[in-house]
Amino acid sequence: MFHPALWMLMRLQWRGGLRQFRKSVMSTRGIIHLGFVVAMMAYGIASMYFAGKAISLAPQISDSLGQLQNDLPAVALFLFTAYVLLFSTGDATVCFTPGEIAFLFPAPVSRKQLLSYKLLKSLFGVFGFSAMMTLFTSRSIGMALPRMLSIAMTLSFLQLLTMNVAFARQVMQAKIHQSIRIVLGAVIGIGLLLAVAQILATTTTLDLADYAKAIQRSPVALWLLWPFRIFVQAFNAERLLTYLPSASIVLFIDICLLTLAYRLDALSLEAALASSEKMAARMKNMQAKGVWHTFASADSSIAGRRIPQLPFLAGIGPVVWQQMTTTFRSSSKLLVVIAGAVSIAAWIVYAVSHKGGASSHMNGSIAGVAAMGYMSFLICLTMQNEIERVGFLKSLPIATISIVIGELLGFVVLLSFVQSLFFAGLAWCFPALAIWLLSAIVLLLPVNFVLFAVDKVVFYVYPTRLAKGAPGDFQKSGKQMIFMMMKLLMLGAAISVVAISALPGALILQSPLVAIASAVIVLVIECSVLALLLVLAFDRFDSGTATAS
Amino acid sequence: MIRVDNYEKTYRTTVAVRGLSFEVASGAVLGVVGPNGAGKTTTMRALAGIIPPSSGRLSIAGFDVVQDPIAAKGELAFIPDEPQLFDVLTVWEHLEFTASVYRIADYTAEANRLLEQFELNDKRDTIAQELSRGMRQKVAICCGYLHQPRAIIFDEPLTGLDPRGIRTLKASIKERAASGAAVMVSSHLLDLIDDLCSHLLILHKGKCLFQGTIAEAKSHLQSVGPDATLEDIFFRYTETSPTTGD
Repeated sequence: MFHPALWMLMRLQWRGGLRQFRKSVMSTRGIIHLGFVVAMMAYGIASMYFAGKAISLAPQISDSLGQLQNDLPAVALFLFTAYVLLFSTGDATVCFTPGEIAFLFPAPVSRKQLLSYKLLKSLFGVFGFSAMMTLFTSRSIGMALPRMLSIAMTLSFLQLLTMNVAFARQVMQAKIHQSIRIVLGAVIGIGLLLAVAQILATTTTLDLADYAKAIQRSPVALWLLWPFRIFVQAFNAERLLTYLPSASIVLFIDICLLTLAYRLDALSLEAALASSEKMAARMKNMQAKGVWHTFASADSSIAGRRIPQLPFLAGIGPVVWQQMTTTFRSSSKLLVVIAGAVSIAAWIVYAVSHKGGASSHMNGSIAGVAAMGYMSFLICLTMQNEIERVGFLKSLPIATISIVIGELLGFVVLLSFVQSLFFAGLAWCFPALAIWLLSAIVLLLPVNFVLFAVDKVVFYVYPTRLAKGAPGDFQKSGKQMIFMMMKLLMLGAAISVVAISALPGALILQSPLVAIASAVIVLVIECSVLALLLVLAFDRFDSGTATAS
Repeated sequence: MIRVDNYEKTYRTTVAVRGLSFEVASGAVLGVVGPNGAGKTTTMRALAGIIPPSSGRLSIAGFDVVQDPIAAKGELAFIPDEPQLFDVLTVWEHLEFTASVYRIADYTAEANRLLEQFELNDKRDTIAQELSRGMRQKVAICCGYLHQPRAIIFDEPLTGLDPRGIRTLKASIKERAASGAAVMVSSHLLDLIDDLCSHLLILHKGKCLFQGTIAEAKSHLQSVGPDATLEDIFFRYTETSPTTGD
């Protein structure tokens, strides 16, 4: 039986969320933040709607996308399931908030009641998320509700599967559990290898649509994906008649997993406490230091990852050394992401350029440059600026200009180096464009500096710290959106001025040297102005004005 | 009231607590002291039913924590070192929820009395997110006291409290003990233990070095003399022989 206090807790939390919402819209600032959130959501929905309309007018693209729409979600579900079965600990599904631990764990509430509370609470989240997804992706109003239910059932499947894996880990002996994982890993691995071999044997291009067709031609891939196609059929169904059979099977699978979770009866408070503490520590790390520190290793083995001491260079050297050592030790995932981004960029270049035609090399190069630019942008935006670190930096006997440049230089040089290699690779592949691509390498350092400097200036002027969002507190997301817009506008202005300065050289004189030289001059001026702004902003930085975001 | 028999807790190869046995009678206040990693919090969490013992028996008011956890938890209040509340709930809603989870039908008068005692009356409609650490601690204590527990466990209770808050908490602990509750307090503040506790339990590396009254602790250690403070006793036990203490 569900403990009445747990109902009450959920009701109180909802009421608290609404109270926060009401409080938020009471101020002008709150209304502006809400306006931003609503505007961005409307923009998202409208762009999805119009993109859908535009695609439906182009039958060739529409057919390819239709094929992908069936295959990609099934592949994604298969990969997720394989990951959960083979590697996941299931920590996230059995973790509780610190408040829940403090009040519910020592309280007279049974294990099954706690499990029901956990499941019910996440079900509300699942339905909320599914409604949002339906809003973004639904093509017909009539099938909106069935589609939402399908998405909710699919998300519940993923959650229940992960939870059961976590419980199985608790009830089984470690050796048996490990053996099962090895056997499963072998079966899935062999299946995957065979499927990949069959797909590669029947594809000649790197188009996603061709892959989709190759998946259809591979019996092993079809066999591996078969269970997951039922889920896809349910949320892609356009008529109730095709929806009901697949939705019923999905519901049945969910019920089986739910029954298994209760049967295993393994919500050990000790394991849940350990998972929750681990997740809380990760969140704390992420809020303080950024996304890349989320999975930072806590043991001393990372001390082995060293970078050599750098020369003093007016104080820039130690600042860069400290920051990059921290990055290599606790944000090694960042390096994996950079390597992944380069691979994806290479694949995009190949996919765009292999089609042939007069402009294919040019298009491939542009796609590669754009992908590299996006990588810098993404990494820069996910770097959480640490307020406490500014206090530490201010206490150093180093000139402000050295500190602010040192803070940027490590990442700027790292990304520019990776991108230089990529551009050199492009130049080797497309000799006709080599002069342009190799000249562009000169721009990488100042462009990356501008990107990171804009982010830092905004942070020093409006210091924000990531805070745990309370339900109903949209101010957090609204504020983030405003800061993001501010950064985008500044960056847009800076890059536009550089592009305009390079146009005469590129279009009128057709001279890469003149175009790049003009761009470099403008970039150097921009970098100098930004360095000055950074110094001013750093000197007047006051962590007391920091806001939660 | 609180009884621990031969309790052991191991994590893979690490032994957190070994062969611990003690009892806290009704009306007694047991101070649990020990260096970091001694096993204090592990023992308290096990008594609160949060982590299971590897072996041994733990009971609260006669109810076995493992066999009959709901009944045992119903008689207990566990106030952890870090006051963790529900961010968007008000102070009063925390009490309302606590009353519901411990199935207290008529709690309003007692809740009001506790808010008055801990000077939280003007904060009753404030959400937890906006409270200082000390106030959050006071809310956690009020919630712990609301169901009139027969056993109370405090893990580092004074952290973040202001001088008045400390005085109020000390008085309330004495009051609860006087009315028959068994109280366990873990702290690194030896003055607090000296001032508040009738009994002492010294843990070191998961083993019990001493248990008994504070007077007994002093008489055990002839070398420290009659004027020895609890600090002298603590260092004598934890930095010399691990078993006899002298």
